[in-house]
Amino acid sequence: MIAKLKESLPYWVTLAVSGYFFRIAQGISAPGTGDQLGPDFWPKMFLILMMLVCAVGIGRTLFGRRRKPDEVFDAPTEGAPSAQLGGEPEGEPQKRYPLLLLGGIVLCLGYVVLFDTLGFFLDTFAFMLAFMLLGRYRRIGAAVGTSLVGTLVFMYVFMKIVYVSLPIGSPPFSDVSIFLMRLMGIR
Amino acid sequence: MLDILYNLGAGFIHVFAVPHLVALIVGLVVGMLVAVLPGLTLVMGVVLALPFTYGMDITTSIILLTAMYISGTYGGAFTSILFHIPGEPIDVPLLWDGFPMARKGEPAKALGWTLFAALTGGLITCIVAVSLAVPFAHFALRFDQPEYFAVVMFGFTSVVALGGGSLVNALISLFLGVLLATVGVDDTWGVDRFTFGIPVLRDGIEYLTVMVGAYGVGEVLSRLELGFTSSPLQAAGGKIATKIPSPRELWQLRSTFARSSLVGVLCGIVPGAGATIASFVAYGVESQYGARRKELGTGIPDGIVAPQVASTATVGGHMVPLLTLGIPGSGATAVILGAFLLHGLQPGPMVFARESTMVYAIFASMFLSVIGMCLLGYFTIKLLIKVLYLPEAITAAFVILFCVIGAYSARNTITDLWLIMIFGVLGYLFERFRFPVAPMVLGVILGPLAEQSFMTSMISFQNDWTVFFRRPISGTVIALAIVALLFPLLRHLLQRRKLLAQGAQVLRERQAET
Repeated sequence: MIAKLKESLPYWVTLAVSGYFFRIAQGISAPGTGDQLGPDFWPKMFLILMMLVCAVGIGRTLFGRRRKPDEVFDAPTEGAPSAQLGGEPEGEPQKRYPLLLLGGIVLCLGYVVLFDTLGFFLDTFAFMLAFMLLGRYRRIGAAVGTSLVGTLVFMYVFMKIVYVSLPIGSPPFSDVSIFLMRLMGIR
Repeated sequence: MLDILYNLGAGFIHVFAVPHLVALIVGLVVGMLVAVLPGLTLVMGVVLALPFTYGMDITTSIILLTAMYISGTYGGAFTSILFHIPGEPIDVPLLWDGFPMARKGEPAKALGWTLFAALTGGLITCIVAVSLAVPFAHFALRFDQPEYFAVVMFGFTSVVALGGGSLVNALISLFLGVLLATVGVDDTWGVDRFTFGIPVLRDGIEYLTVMVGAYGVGEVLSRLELGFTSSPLQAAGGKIATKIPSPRELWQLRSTFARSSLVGVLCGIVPGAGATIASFVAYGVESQYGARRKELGTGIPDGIVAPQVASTATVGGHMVPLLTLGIPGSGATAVILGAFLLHGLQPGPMVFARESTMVYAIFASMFLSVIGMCLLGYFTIKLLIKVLYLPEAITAAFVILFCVIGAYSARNTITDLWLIMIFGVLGYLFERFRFPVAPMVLGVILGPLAEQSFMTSMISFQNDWTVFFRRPISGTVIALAIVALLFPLLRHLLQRRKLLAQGAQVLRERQAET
């Protein structure tokens, strides 16, 4: 039963979140809608549908039979993340590294937090290097080189060719970005 | 017909302009590289290429993305056949006959069959796309708001039903996408919805952010949790080359080519039944109706040709509803639709009247892409598969970098970076709990169109919801949508019935024996 409850957890969470958003949607209104459907109708309709489907999911998980996946039609959809088959043998549970995942999430969040402060160049270089090392790539020299060249190429392409205004950072970090921009002829 | 040929000819001339040709070649190479790498999916590759198209004109950017899409259906065949690594899910059926043929010492022959299959499927799909697009567009001119709503609903339901996996999970994914599209100022009444006082959210959540986060960051996080452990390379041995089959050999497989092309084109036109489904279905059809069905799985060309022809043949089928109705039928075409919208153009029947040069340039580029990808595969495959030796940690770091720039470039706001990280974690959770991402992406892209056509219909027809069922076209399409939604249930019942029949047969045989 505990396994089934665990399996149904995503549906419970989605149900709760939908309920919360439905409460928020109650407050959406527009003056003068009269007999017409208001701006709250569409989101409310889908929130109700979402809650209904979650209830079905919960019911199916708790009280339904466990089904074997259909070999052909359970094939991953084109482009879905689950579509990564990568040649791993089927049936064998793959070893998971939750600490690596946590480290990856922290790195990504740190990258965003420091994006404006460090500027694109320093932040991206540091992130790429740290991410490669976290991903168990142990050739430090190659990792530093790839991160440096990759960051510079991206900086040049997006700032000079595609004209995207990437952040240069706050002083003193901005000095590095400005120096590199001068070097690359970016105005 | 002459008009079509004339326009197509003009399209070819248009494609031969230098920027378009460069975009086409770059798209082919990048698409093939993406397909070769098991860590990158075809859709993810197209998503990551999107930010590079901001500075291009619309025709160039669509040519680039379409070329990537087409060559992506072919590139993964090499790693499936030579190394037993499917670069894409569509290449899984190629493992069953392609790899055994390579193991039997005929890798060049297996690659030759794949090349010819991709060429045939590709050319057929282009011809179908060109021939069907105009009649489709003329038909679509009769559409009003209820019809558009019905078509979007059909797209939603078939993507959900045919996308594979759990129907409940797919519906949750779709509803989430539609709800994400409601964030921001409501189009009809001008009221804020779910903005929580954050100014940038008043403009809504960009579908690009959702796509990039869920497909790109989510995928990287999923693979990082597995420790970036791609399978080690096990080369089939021998020299990597391609040997084209003889005309006699090709003629012997004419029925396989015909069957699989039909499967591919049909799966392409129906939203949701993408290249993966086509590839598996074509193999399944071959195992039921093929002349050498009993030998399938032992390394025969029939098992290579069927999935490859079908998967490449879906491309044109997908492009027809995309260009004529603005309805994407797959993850990759959803991104291409995103590129159209980013450049301020909504695909639909009027595009054929207003932007016919662009439309036919896209069609012409599809023909050239098919031929180009085969030439590329024939001459440069040895070089291309070297990308497999790149450590996954490096490619993953670059994928994140692409995602960040892609999200940031759209609006130059740090909020979008937070959003891609949130959607990245969500994409990871989707993968972990077996929720498909594609319905959410389609929901977020088509949600505004669905809401607008629904609300306008309600205003025009005094809240009479039966209008969707009473009008002939919308009624038919809604009926098809219901059938599509009921399809998994029907399939389940049929399978159950088949299993029961098989069980009864076994029982009878045992009783007869005793």
